[in-house]
Amino acid sequence: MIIDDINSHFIFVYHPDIFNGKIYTTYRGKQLTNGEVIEHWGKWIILGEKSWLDELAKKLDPYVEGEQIPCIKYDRKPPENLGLEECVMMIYCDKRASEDIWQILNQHGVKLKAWVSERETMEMWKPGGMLLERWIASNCSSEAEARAVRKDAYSKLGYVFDHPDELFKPWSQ
Amino acid sequence: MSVTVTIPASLRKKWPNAKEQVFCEGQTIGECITHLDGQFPGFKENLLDGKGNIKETITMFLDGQNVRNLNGLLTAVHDDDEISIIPFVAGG
Repeated sequence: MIIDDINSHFIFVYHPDIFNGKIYTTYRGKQLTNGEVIEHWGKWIILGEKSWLDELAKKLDPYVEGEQIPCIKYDRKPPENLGLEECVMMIYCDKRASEDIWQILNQHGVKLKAWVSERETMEMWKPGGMLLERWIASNCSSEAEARAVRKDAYSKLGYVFDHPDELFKPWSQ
Repeated sequence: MSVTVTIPASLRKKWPNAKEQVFCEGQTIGECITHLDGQFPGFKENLLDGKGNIKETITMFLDGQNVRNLNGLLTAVHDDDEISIIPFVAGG
């Protein structure tokens, strides 16, 4: 199902059972641990006009409901703080299932083939990471605010790296 | 080697005749970029820094894999390989 809440920057495509506690960070039905997420989880990146991504989301929704694709997230408007004029869609999945999911995307007109692992993403969003520091530069008005953001990022990402055997809990967004 | 390169709109706006997918020749990623610079002057400068390395704000993929995790611009390519380029490092 497509979750299009106008108060959120992101539009999501989730399995309906997400509201009944279903976790999407799984592989072959097994929920992944923090360590497994760092090792295997990631996403295919798609760039495009919002209208095209809206249409693509509708086409991919049945694959999410059929549990072939775990989760999708995309921008409501281009993330200008990253210097982009296009919206970004992320098709989340386990690397071990990623080629099967790529075939689905390709069937629906996706040409860009760009896999970004969760480990790479976390490196970019940890304190000092390029994406977090860019976000701080465009959203924080004081150094105190920036410090609080870095502390929060460290507590979330550091926990995942420091507790590899615990089941991964996706962050709310 | 004949290789397909996928370039999103925000990276090809300077070259109105560039399509989402273009074709180039080369033995490595770097040679493919140089070849494309011949078709689209300034293309290489958009992707590489003054030292000839991939800019921090650019990520290139060979058949889906980040070339930084391979051999960078020296990564060998083969016929029918697909290079994709995005103008940032990673999503959230």
